[in-house]
Amino acid sequence: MFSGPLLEVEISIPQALVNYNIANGIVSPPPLKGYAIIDTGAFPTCVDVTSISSLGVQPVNIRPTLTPAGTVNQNTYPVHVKFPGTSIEIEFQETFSANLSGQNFNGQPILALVGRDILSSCILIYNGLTGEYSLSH
Amino acid sequence: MGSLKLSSELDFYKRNKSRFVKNFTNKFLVVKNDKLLGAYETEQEAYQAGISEYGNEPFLIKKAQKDEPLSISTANLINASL
Repeated sequence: MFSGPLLEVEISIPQALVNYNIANGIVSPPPLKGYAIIDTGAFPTCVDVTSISSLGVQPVNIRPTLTPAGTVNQNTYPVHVKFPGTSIEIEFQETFSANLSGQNFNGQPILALVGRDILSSCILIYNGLTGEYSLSH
Repeated sequence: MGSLKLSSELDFYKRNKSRFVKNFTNKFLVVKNDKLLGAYETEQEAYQAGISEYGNEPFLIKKAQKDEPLSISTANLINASL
């Protein structure tokens, strides 16, 4: 199946919540694994709201966001994001949520959109004719 | 996506915004219901303080600033099969 630029991604609960769970004898959920779409039109990076909620992470803010449907308020969440096979691993104090439910690739869920906050430290090359792409960090 | 959490906390922040911005400029405030827990230098410190006080419950972290930048999301256009 032809797809746009994708990265393997793991999302998990933030470290402060891990520490709280340990101190209170609570078992932290394992990371969710799936794919992230590289989205040069997005700033900042956002994570699927259903996935974050399934990890038990609570929101920390409401922010206005400009979308194709107009300006909407969205909850934001702290989350830990890791891209396996790369050196990119980020503890987001706050990331935007997006409804990516139903989006998948090869049976794996789309969990995040990689926005220009992460891409600002990368070089992305995309060959639309062949569908090939590379991302260096 | 359902109703937003932290709406009452946001309302509390908006009612007191001018005072908060004046007294805690660029600090990260932690708000739960109608109570200001404190003002912190970094977002990380604010989150840690909120977790320590409230556990894994929703609480608002807001930077005390006059204007809030608008973010842009193209999530509604995403189709992974394209």
